[in-house]
Amino acid sequence: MDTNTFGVIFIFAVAVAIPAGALIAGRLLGPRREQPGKQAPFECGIANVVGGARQRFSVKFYIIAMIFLVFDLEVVFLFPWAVDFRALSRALGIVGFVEMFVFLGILFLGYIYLYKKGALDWEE
Amino acid sequence: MSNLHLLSFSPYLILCVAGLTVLLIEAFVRKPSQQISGYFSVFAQVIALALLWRQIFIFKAIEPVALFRHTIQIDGFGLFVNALILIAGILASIASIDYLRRQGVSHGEYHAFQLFAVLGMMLMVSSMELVTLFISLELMSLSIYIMCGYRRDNARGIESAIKYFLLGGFAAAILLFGIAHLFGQSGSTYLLDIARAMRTGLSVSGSTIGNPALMKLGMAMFAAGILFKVAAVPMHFWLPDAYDGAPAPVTGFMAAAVKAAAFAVLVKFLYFTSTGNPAETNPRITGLHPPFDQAILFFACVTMLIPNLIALCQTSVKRILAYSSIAHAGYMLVGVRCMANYRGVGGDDATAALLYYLMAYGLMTLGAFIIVGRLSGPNEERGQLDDLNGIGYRQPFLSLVMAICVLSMAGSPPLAGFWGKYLVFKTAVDNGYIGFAVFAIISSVIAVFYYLRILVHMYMRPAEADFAQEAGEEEAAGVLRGWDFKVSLGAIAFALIWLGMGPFTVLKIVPGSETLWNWSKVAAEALSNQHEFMSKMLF
Repeated sequence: MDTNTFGVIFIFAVAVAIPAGALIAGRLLGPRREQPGKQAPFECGIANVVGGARQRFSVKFYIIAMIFLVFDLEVVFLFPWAVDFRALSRALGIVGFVEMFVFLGILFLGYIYLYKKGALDWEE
Repeated sequence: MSNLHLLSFSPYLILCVAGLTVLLIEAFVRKPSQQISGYFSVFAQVIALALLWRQIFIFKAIEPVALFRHTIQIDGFGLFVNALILIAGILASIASIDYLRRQGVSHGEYHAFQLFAVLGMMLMVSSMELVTLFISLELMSLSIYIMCGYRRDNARGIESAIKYFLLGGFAAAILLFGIAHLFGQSGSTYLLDIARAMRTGLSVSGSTIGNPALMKLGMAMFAAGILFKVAAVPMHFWLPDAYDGAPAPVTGFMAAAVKAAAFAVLVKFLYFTSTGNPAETNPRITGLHPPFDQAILFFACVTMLIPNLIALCQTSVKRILAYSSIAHAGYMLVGVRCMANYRGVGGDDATAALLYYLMAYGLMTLGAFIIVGRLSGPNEERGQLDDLNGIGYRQPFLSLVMAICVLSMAGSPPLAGFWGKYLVFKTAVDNGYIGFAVFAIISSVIAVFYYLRILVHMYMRPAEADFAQEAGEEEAAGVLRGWDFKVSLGAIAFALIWLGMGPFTVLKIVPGSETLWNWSKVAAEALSNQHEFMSKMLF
């Protein structure tokens, strides 16, 4: 068995062991207080999971989801920039630094807009 | 980035910053802020046009400027179409301020979307790289979808937005798949590299292209995606519903600017990817690959004829104008076909004729849609032909401008639309397509019927009493004030007449009226110079 295959198997074992360990530890250590709400199926953004599909959804969930997407994607762009920043700044100099802040600035404007429009107010 | 580069990119930067500023205005200024945002947007577009204008005079002399690692290139051709887009944007902005005010809309995010749409179109026209092109196309499309459905409580507006969005998304996927094939075979997304691969049969890495058929498939899919935006006939079904349901200024903006941008991309793409026989050494030869020349011919013929026949039996003015805008795309495709066929010196005439047509068509269709939106009541509930009865005497100014726009569309001689048609059909004759030209002329004669029908309803039918009273009340309430709106419409009418007074130096009746034609020729030459430059580089 070469080291690569061993690595894959090891990671697979860890991936199984951690959630399994968490579940077992929770069962052994945690207090168990049954409530009807805990037993009900749950999905984020949908009030009544059981029943017909033709029900109204709160639009708030979608706004939150969209905000999340925007800032999540921001991070996606930030990671490679930050990881490779040294090489980037050698190639582009100060431009590579400033450009990312232009991008962040535009996203920040979006954040200000959302904030002023009350998109982040859950209670309304 | 040098100062020159920054100067040539400044119109785009201004539009981008202005769009973001409108969002800030909406966030901080107390309602109603629609008009503040609107006038700010007009101001920003005027500044951008002024900067563009400056460049147009600089760029007559110097080489095209490549920006951002050659993904964007600013040249005479792009500047012409960008100016057209900005003019349409300014006129549509002014009309939409008035339109939204009458609808009682107090928030003005609309104007931010319009600025982004204009920015997307301008970048799309200037891009020399397919991924940049696709992103700008999406920036344009997404903004336009939202603008179509801006009247959230209007079922027809929502229908328009949904239909345009679903079909547009589908077309964008096809276009992207085409780009993927082109990239897969040539190894690059740059138009120049793809053109080189087309001519030499070698990919960027120097190996021979694995499957040339996939290259052609990619070209076809890309062209299909763009022809969807142009609304050539087999891909036109979204257009009447989208145009009918969208707010009237948006419809005019779509008809004028989106079509111009899509045509510019089509022309540019065909210019770069089309090659004649690779063995021929004349660098000015541009000819489409065998299946594509026939395809464009077919699209042009059906796009000219079918919508004109459908429009004959429409009763809604907006739908008539929507079908007429499809037919106009057909006449312009005649120009595309001839452009792609030309051999020898002076072949820029077809491209120049197409550009001239785009400018004339943009002005007249924008004017017509704006006025229909103005005449059909605050919620556009009176958009039928019968609702126009006798309006020529109640609203003399609007009706006069409408009549000029409609006559110009019909191709009546002293107006710009006549010269557009004349120039495009002339290139068809010059290229030896006599039958093609006759077919185009017959189609445009059919169209005269429904154009005149609008005029008959406006001037020769008695008015309905109740609507007359309603309109009178509107006037009494001071809704018709707004000099900017009137000035913009007057400018359209003036431009159509002025440009129509003779685009050639021979017929120099009005001084300066031939300028647009000269300018179109300069723009067309800029495109073919690039092509020549490219060919020299390749052989």
